Amino acid sequence: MDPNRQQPADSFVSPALVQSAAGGDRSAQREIYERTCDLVFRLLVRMVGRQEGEDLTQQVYVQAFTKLEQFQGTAKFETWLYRIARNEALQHLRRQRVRKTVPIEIEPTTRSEPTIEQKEIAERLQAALRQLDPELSTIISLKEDGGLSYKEIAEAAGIPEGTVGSRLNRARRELAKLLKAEDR
Amino acid sequence: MAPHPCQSVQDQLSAYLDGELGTAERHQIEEHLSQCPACDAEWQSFRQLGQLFRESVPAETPPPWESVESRMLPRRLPAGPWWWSTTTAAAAAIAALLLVAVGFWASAPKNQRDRIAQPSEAGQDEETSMAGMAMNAEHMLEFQRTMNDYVAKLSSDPDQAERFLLTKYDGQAVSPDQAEALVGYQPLISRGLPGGYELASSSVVEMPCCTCFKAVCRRSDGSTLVLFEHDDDAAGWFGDRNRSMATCGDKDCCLIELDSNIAATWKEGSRSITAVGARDQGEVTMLVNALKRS
Repeated sequence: MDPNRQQPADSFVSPALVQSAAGGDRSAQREIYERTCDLVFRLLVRMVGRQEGEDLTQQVYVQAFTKLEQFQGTAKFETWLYRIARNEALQHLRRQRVRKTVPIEIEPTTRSEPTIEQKEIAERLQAALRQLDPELSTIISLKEDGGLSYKEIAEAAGIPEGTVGSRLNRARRELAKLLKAEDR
Repeated sequence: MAPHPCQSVQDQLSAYLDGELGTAERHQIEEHLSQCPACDAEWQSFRQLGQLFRESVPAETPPPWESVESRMLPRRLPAGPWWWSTTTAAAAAIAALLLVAVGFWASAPKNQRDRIAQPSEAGQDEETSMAGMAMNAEHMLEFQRTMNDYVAKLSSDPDQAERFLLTKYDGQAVSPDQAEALVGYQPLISRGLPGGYELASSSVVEMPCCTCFKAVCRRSDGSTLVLFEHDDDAAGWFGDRNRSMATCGDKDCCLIELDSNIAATWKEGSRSITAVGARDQGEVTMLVNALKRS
C-alpha cells in the first residue's frame, strides 16, 4: 500500500499506521486492534454468538495482520477488515453445518451486567439473527451496529451497491417476522 | 406500466430509513407514508428494529489484544524488510505443509492413499478431504497458530490448555484402552508411564494433520508434560520456532524451543511421539527409552 495515499475520510486507521503494522510493528497492530475491534467483535457475536465470536475475532486479526500487504488502500481499512470478518464467520458457519447442527444458545455475559430488560432484548434479537440467512445478518449488523454507508456495505459484503437496499429490506422484513413469531 | 406506489415505496424503505435517497425521492416517500397506513406500519417496524439493535449492544467487551498477539506467529528478528519476513514465513509454511503431506501420504493405508490421490468428489465432506493431504498453507498457518496458543496456555494454565485443544479439535476424553477403537492401535502409554509421572487425563483429538492420542501427564512436582502419539511427523506443528536435531537414546529427535521449555518429536515404529513441555534433552532421552515399543 502507498503510505502517501489518502485514506478515505473518517477512517480510524491512517495509511502510516497500516504501513507500520504491515512491517510487523506490534504496537501499530495493537493500535489498529484497539481502534477497530469493537465493531468487528459485535459483528461476529451477532453472526456466531459470544463464545465463538471471541475466538473468531482473534482469528480475524491474526489473518488481517498476516495479509496486510494485500490491503490496497482504495477503500476504508475498516471495510477491508469487515470483509475478512464476514468471510471468517461464513466459513465458520459452513464448517459448523458440516459437523453438526448447533442449537441456538443464549450465552451468558461476562462483563458489566445489563438490565434484565436489555438482556431479554439482546437474547431475542440474537436468537432471531441466528435464524436469518448469514449474509443478511451480516448486512443488517454492518448497517445497524456499524452505521456503514451502502457503498461500504457493498465493499465489505462483496455485493453490488445497487443490491444493498433490497437486501436490507429483506433482512428487516424477515427479522421483524421472526421477532413477531417469538412474541406469540 | 408505472409501479404501484406502495410497491415502489416499499422497495425504497430501507434506503429512505438509512438516508441514502435524494431530497425529491425522500419527499415522495414521506408524502406516501402520511397517506398509507400499511407502508407506514412497515416503516415503523423497520425503525423499531434499529432501536432494538441500539438497546441490545452486547455487554461483553472484545478479547484483549494479548489474546490476539499470543496467536500470532513469533516475530522474526529484523533481518530485512517486512515483506521478507512475510515471504519466508509463507515459504516455511509451505515447506512444512509438504513435509506433513508427504508424511501423511506415506503413512496412510493404501486405500486412503488412493483416495487422497483422486480429485475430491462433489459433495464429499469438506472436513474429510481437508484433513490429511489437502491442508493448504492457510490451514497450516491456522493450525500453527492454534498450537502456538495451546503452548502458551499450557505453561500458564494446563487445564485451560487442554480444554482449548479438546474444544478446538473435537477431542474425546477416553482411557488409553478405549482409545484403541478410535485410533486403530494400542497407545504406547497404555503399558504404563515411567516412574515419577502419573496420567492426569487422556483423549483422542481430531487434529487437522491426523487423529492423535494425547496423554496429559503430571510430574511429581505437579508440572505438566503432554505426550501425543500420531501418524504424521509433526514437522509443521510448531511453526518457525527454533529447532535442532539431537540423538536421544538411540533415536533421532527433533527438539523445538518453546517459551519456557521444549517440545520433542521422534519416530517409534510407524508412528511418531511428540512430547510438549519437556524440560531438557535429558528428560526427552528418558522418555524415548521408556516408551520403546519393545
